[in-house]
Formats: sequence, C-alpha cells, structure tokens
Amino acid sequence: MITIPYLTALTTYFSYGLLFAFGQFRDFFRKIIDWWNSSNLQGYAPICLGLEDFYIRRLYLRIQDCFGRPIASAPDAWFDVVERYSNDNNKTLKVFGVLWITLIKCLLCRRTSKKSRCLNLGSYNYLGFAASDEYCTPRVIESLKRFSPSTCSTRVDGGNTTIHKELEECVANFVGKPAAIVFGMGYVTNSAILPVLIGKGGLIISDSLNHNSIVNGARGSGATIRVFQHNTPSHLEKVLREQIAEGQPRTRRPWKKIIVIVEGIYSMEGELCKLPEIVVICKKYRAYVYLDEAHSIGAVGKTGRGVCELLGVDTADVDIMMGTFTKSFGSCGGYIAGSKELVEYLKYTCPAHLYATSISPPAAQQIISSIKVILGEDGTSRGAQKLARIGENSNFFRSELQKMGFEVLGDNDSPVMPIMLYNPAKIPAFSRECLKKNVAVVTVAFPATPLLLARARICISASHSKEDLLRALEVISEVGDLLHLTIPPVLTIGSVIDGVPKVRSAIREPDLGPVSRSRWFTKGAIHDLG
Amino acid sequence: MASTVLHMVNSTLEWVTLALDVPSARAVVFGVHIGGHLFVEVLLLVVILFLLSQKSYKPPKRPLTKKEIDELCEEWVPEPLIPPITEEMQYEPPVLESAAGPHTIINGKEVVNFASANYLGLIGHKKLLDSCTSALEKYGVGSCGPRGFYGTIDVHLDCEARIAKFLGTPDSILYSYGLSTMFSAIPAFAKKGDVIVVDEGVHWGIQNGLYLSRSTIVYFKHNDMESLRNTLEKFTAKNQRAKKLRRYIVVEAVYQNSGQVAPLHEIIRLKEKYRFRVLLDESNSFGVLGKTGRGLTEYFGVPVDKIDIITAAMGHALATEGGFCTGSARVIDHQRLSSSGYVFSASLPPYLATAAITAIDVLEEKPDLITKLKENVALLWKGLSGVPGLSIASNPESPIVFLKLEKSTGSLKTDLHLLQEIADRALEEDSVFVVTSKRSALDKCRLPVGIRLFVSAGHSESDLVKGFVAKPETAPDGSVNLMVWQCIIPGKPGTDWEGGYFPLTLHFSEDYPSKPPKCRFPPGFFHPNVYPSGTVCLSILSEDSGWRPAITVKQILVGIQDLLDQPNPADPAQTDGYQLFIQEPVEYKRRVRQQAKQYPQII
Ligand SMILES: Cc1ncc(COP(=O)(O)O)c(C=O)c1O
Repeated sequence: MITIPYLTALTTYFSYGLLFAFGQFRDFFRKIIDWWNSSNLQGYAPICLGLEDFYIRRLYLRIQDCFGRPIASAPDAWFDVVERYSNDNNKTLKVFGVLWITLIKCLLCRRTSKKSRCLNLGSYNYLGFAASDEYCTPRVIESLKRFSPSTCSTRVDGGNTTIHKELEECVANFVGKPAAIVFGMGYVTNSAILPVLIGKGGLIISDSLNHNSIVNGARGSGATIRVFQHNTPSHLEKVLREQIAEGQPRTRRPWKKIIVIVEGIYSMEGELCKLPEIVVICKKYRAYVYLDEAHSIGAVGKTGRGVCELLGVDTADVDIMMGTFTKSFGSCGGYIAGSKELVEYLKYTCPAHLYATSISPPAAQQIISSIKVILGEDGTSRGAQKLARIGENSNFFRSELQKMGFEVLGDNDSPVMPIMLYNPAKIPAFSRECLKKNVAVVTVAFPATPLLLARARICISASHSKEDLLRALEVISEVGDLLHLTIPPVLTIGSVIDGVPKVRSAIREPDLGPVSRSRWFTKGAIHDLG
Repeated sequence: MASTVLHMVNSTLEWVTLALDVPSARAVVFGVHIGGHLFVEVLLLVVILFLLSQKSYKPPKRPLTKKEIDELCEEWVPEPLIPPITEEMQYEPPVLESAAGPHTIINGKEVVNFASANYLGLIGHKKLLDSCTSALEKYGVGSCGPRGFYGTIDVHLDCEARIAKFLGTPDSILYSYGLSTMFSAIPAFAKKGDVIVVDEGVHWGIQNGLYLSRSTIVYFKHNDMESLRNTLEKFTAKNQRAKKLRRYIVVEAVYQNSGQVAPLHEIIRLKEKYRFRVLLDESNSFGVLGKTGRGLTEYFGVPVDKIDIITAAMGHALATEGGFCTGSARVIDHQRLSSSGYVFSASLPPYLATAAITAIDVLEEKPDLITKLKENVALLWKGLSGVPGLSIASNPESPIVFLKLEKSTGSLKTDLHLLQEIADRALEEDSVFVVTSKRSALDKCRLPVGIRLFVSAGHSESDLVKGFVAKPETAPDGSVNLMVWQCIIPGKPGTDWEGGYFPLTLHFSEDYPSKPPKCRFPPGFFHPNVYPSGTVCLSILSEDSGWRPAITVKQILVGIQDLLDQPNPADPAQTDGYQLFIQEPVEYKRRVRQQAKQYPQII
C-alpha cells in the first residue's frame, strides 16, 4: 500500500486530465483531417485500438526520449549512453494538397554518434557480472568456439549439449533443489510452465503485483485466477479459506489444486516477499508455492541463494522455484527448480522445452561460471566480496535516500529502490535532469505501474564503488530539490548525515523520521493496489 | 340466531358498499360509472401487483461459520502437482559433445546431424564466431535490462535496421526469444472480439498467442485454400459487424509441423478479397526460400508490404537466437509499448544480435548457400522417396523433410514410439542423428507426427546418402516391420564395384542380437560368396564362428562392402562367380562391372 498525499493525488490527476484533454482536442482535429484525406485502407478496422494508441500518441511520445535510451557498452557501473535527437518535437510536417497535416513520425529519436559516459543506476547488474569478467569471459569465449552461438534446435532434439546438462546440475545445486530445467528466456519460463502445471479446475492465487510473465502464464493455463493484496499473508489466508470453502464457481466442485504465486523481490516495489508467513499458510491449506526469484536469486542471501536463504525458509517448502539469469548472473534465460519428478514431467510436456531453441551455449557457460564465482569455486573470494558489496551498497544507498527525505519504497537488503514521483511532469524531468548530470536512472510509468504511481527506480550493483554512490546521491539530491521531491528530513541538532555531501537546510518538522513519513498523511488518499 | 348473524353480515356489506360509494357517488369518468366494485377491483389489482413484485421466497443466507470453513479446509485434498511419472516421460535426448553443426559428436562418435535447423550451415562459421567474440568482449553476455530500461544496446538498433533493410520493410523489432515472438505479437494486435482465421497446423507459439489474445479463433484445414476461402466467405456473410472488427489470417510460411509451404498467392488474393490482414511466420523460410533468401514473399514474387506482419525466429537459418517482427512503422512502434514479451523481458544478449547481423551479411555475400541447400534438399528427397513404410509429407522446397508413417497405427503415442525407434537405430547404427516431431500435451495441433530431417547447406553429398542407407521395411498393411531392414550398399570407390548401389535386406530374428541377422542380396547376385538365393556368406554373420552381439548393423554393412571387392575363395557359395573369379579374372571383372551398372544409384 502506498499512501498518496491528497495534494499530490490531486495534482497528478489534474496533470493527466490536462494531457488527456489536450490529446482529445488534437485527436479531434486529426479526425477531421483524416476524414478529408480518407485513408487507402478502406474496409479494415484500424490495427491499433483507440485508447491504447491514444496513450502512446499523446502521452508517451512526449517523453519517449526517457525510455529505451540506447547504450554503446556493457551495462556495467558506468556505461556509454548514446545521445539522440529529435528535430521535429516528435512529429513531422508533411505537405498534402493544401493542408499541412500533422502525422506521427515513427523514428522520433534519432541516434547520434555522440556518447556520454554515465553512472548506471538502471541495469539489473546486481553482482556486476554484466561486464567482461576475468573468470567468466574467457570461458564463455571458449564455449562459443566449441559450441557456436546457437544449437538451432530444441532441448529434446539436437539442442542438448554437455553445457546444458552441466548447467541444470549446477543450478539445481545452487538453488538447493534436487533437479532443474532451464530455458532460453525468463519470460517464457513463467508463461510456458504454468499451463503445464495447472489447468481448468485449478486455482491460481497470485500476488496483485506479480510480473506480467506470471500473469500471462496464468491466463494461458485456463485455471481460475484470484489475486491477493500485495505481500499480505493475512489476505492470502482469507482468500484461500474462502476459495477452498466455495470450491469452483458454478459447479462447486472442490478445486483440483491451488498454486500460490509470489515473487522474491518485487521489481517495481523493491520489497522482499513475506515468504516465511506465506509458506506456513500454504502448508496449512495444502496449496503449492511457486516462487519467482527473478530479482532475488544471486542478489540476496549470505551465499547469494535468494530470499529463501535470506529469510530462513527451507527450500523443500517451496514446491516450484523459478528464477531468471538475466539479472545477477548477467546472462539470459530462466530456470525452474523442483523435485526430480517435477522436472522430468516438465521435460516431457513443457512446450518451451519441446519447441523452443535451447539456451545459447555461451550464455549457459556464463551462468555456470558466475555461479562458480559466487560459490567461491573459482578459487577466489571474489564472489563473497561481491555479495557483501551489494548488501552494503544497497543498505547505504537506501538509508541515505531516506535521510534526504525521498519517499523510497522497499525493504532493507533489497538492491531495488523506487523513488516515488507521482506527477507525470516529474517523470521526464527527473530522468533528463539526472542524465544531464551523467547519472542514468530508470523512470517507470504506466503501463508498468498504476497510472498514479509513477516512480524512478534505482538498481544498485556490487560493481558500484563508494565514490559512485556518493556521486549518485549528490546528483539525485540536487534533482530532488529541483523537483521538490523530498520531504525535508529532521535534523536533530548536531546530527551529521554520513556521506551526504550537502547538509540540507531543512524546515524543522515535528519529530517524525522520513521513514515514518506516511504517517503525516494518515488522512491522505490511501491507494490500495490490490 | 343464524338469521341475526346473516342480517349483520348483510348490513355490514351494504354499509361497506355504501361507504365506498359515497365519495364517488354519481361520479362518471369518461362515461364509466365509478361504483364501489370498481374500487374493489382496483384494490385487487394493486394487491396482485404487489405480490408479483415481491421476490420469491429464499431461505435466509447464512454464511459459513468459521468452524465450517475450518472443516472444509481440513477435508480438502488437492491433486498432486504432477501426474505420476511413467517410463515414457523419462526420455533422455542424446547429449551433444560438440557444436550442433552438420556433423556433431554424440557419445564420442561423430554423427551426421539432421536435428538442427542450421539451414545455411552457419553454425561454426568463422565470421560469426569472430563477431560474437568481439561483441562478448565489448558488451559482456547479458543486457541486464528490458529494452525500455537501458537494455537497448546499439547493436540491437543496428540489427533491427539490418533486418528491415534486408527484407525491404520500413522497420523491425527484436525479441529475445524465438518462441515469444508470435505469442507476444499476436495479443498486441488482437483483442477480445477480433477475429483470427488460422491454419490448424500452426505451432504452439502461435496457438498460445491466439489463446492469450482472447479473440475469436476460426481454424481452417491445414494448408487448404478451399477451406480458407470457405471460412472467410462464411464469416463475412454471417457477420454484419465484420467491417468493424480487426480480422487476421495467421499462417506459417513453412510449417514446422508438416514441412508444407503456404501458397502465398492464393492467400493474398483471398486476403484482399475479404479484407483480412495477414500475419506470416517465416521462422523456417527466412534465409531459405526465394532466390536470395528473403523468404516466402520473394519465393512467390509478392511485394513484402502486402503482408501486414511478418515474424521469424532467428534460431534457424541465422544460427543465432531470438526472433524479430517486421512490418510497417506503425505495426512495429505499437509493439514497442504493447507487446508483453518485448516490454517485460530483458533484451536479446548483444552478441546474439551481432551474430544475426553477421549472418545476414554472410547470406547476402553468398547466395550460393541457398542454392546448395536447395540441391541438398532435392538429393535427400529423391533418396527418401522410395523408403517403404514412410512417406514424405513435406513440400519439395521445404528445408524440413518430413517423413510420416504411410499408415498410422491410429495412436499418436504408438506412432511416436515406432518413429523414435527408427530414429534411435539410425543414430546408433548408422551414425545419423534424426529426430521425431515431439508433441506436448498442450499442443492442439492434430497433424500426424513424423521424423523430421533438417537439411543444411553444410551437409555434404555423402552425408545425405548416409541419411537413407538403412531403413526398416514396411509390411503391406503399412506398419513398419522392424525385423526387416532394406539397405543399400554402395560399391567401394576405386574398385570394379564402384558406381553400383546394391540392395541388401537384413532379416533380424527375435533372438537378435544373440543371433546374427540374415543378409540377402537379390537372388542370382553375382559374387563368389553369395548363395544363389542371395544370402551372404560372411564369417562375422555366422552364428557359430564370427558373430558377436556387439557387432552393429553398420559394421555388418561395412563388412559386406569390403567383401564385395575381396571375395573369400576359401568359402565359395556359388559356382558361377567362384569359377570365374578363380579361372577367368578378366571375364570376372567384366561381369562385376556389368552388375554394378545394373544397380545404379536410385537418385
Ligand atoms: C519477476 C520476474 N519474472 C520474470 C521476468 C522475465 O525475465 P526475462 O527478462 O529473463 O525474460 C522478470 C524480468 O523482468 C521478472 O522481473
């Protein structure tokens, strides 16, 4: 739950309302023009639907430059952002008869050859394996030479190499499950596995903020889907009891099975899953637990084994453990780890195993090598250092942001920290201002978040040095001031904020820490995402 | 007593009538006299209406008590997460010990690989490896982010531009996995209420996309244009609102499930007539069909802009991974924000995008790769045409040669089992790696299963000949008889036997491998060690002397091939051949050469 102050909610709605009104106004004229110049595609319904297209044309395009910025190097702690320009302010004019017609132009942001070196606070490079690595890269290149970039075949046909076998064993061992199966893409892992595990007559209870791949997989399965309030075990229990008692809709037959799906770290919230409580509840009601560790595997836990290790949950209590290799391991693909029988069954029926090309061998090698580094099997303590660094870096950065008075979501230990922006105007402003100062941050807006809850998201990496973080904090603090993002912190006399280069003069408020700032607005509009 | 009661009732009634009459006495409305009875009737009507408006009786709702819910929860027993594992589920595919090129290593043995869709033979291509190596050094392996959030690397943009330029389309978009391309692209353009007419043989990725779009799905018969026409006609005639809906035809260029090629001319004609848009999956035709490998549109000489949306996986001809979608700028831009597999997933690892660029460069530089692939397909086609029990179901132009059972056993499982057995033997005994078309329980495709041979430009002629050396025979009823194998033994080059391709039948007994198979040439075969019946006399084939269960079919065939040129005079089996061999070597040679001409290569 995120508490939005009244005023913020009002101004945010107002901004969107204004944008909407202007958009409609412009669309109105466009329609007239289109009518004049009736298109050649008579008899076809428009390929893109009105409102969703409206959002893109009238809102997204204005701030398009904040998204999809191309980079020209590895997504390491520092990277080269390619500068783009648009000489027509996102549209172009075309002569048509006597009318000047405004049409959308598609390649709005054109690339230049200019690059600027920026601090990367956007990539999911939690352990710093994205860049070339002294242990991994030579092995990856060796496997490239041996196996080529692709097998051009599926795992059950000609795509099953020794590397793939080794990878599955390695992942199962790392995750702490008897067996594992790997796929070439994390998204497909979720969306192709769920239909295999459950179908009509089954029930999926999903966290309200689960990733789109889970939503898609659940939809594709044909099972009934119920949602519980984000990360709220008590509500999960309520839904479970209700559903078990009620049974299937209409027929009232008991459910065949129930799968509860949660994520380890919620990528847009930075929150850790309340796994211990959820596991207890699922055990009590005999529901199966499906845990998506896309962001947590490798990034948290003493030896990088994810939320189970961090929160002290026995992996035997989690029936299906899913994760991706795109984040901490700096590769691509996803895995499912579980019992031997589960994996055997998946290998027999899962369409992604039968029909999709197997994961690229060099990418597989990267995962194996990075796991070896994490576990110290490369003979160094680099892995342990990386894990220590990401924990320290994340906690330092989070606490500093909070001290500055930003509204930061998420839990300690999580390397993902969203800063709430709310106002649509602040999205591009935050992004552009930071980029001007050579700090690259990700801003997230609809459709990845609810319309009102636009935010900037910072992902901390083990490859960030202390200086990097200090510099980032300085820039963010300046931009925060500019955009009035901070709620002034409370400085008790004589208190010093470590590492914050600029001690901020603050309006003294009653003694409420920034952490508890939501209490300021107890009367504010409570925005329940569930 | 009674009369008093009666009297009272009467007087009361009178009083009531009077009382009711009083207010409206003598009232006449529109010529109707308003009397007391009218009031009674109206009252009655009101009562009836009141009763009718009441809900029927329902027992009061009593929610379950906490205890009851507890009990229900206690009683509920879920099904196990997965069904019990049977033996057939434990299939272990062969493990490759080297790259999946035209030749690969399985179990320490070099085999010819027909399992990888490496159509252009680009696996292991030097240029590809070099470009990947430098990309890996520069960019690392993964992109660590979705395209929107700093996961766009310059090579992604280059690759998109390269594909668009190659195909002559305005723009294209990269997906990080071949399978996700279709199932993300379709729901981006079709929603509930829209209509999709689709071939019943499409692969699972498309099926899943159709399902996720929640559109109205109408299937037409596999690659049957008459059926497509009927479907479109029926839909358009029946549906008044058709014009308001988005309508699509979804087809594959070369069907993964059958190797058929879609007749694009006809599809375009129908599409234009009924005003449908076309989504075409070119996964198995991109880089393969057409003079320069630009796919189905080039093959049929159709301008590429006639197709609204083209998708393709890059894990086939381009020998990399991922997929792309190409079309008008509007189609592509829309996906950048609306296609879930693009928005919500990390982007393609940059080295794979580089590989795709290089692969297209190579293809453009060397269009003869396509010619070679075509020749190879033709060669394999001819060779496989005569195989008893199996028939070719694919199009002669398709790089997937699809063998199906001439007569199915009626059960998909048994068919697959039989085909798998053939494939296993081919791998074990002929070192030819072929695969069956597996079918997931989720797959709705009902086309027959078969053996798929993915032909590559990298296959040599001898590889392809190997592809059909030995195959089991089929009984007249069409079932495959695994006990009888039809083989061809080529005469050794450099000997008088060169140029001959001698048919040999292996009869396995139930006791195989403890007993040797019986090997037979056609009756009257000219060779000192062949009985007049055609049976070969060879020490390793003798149960008493040379046979060991470990001897493979391949070793037998090689042994017989050697025997052809090196007869064993110590063990004659026919007089004709033996005598000529001993007494008239010149005549013997002539006969041998003549016989070799009698058995030319069947292709
Ligand atoms: C929770 C979750 N699951 C799955 C995925 C998809 O993984 P991939 O990027 O490897 O497709 C993501 C990625 O953003 C994710 O956050």
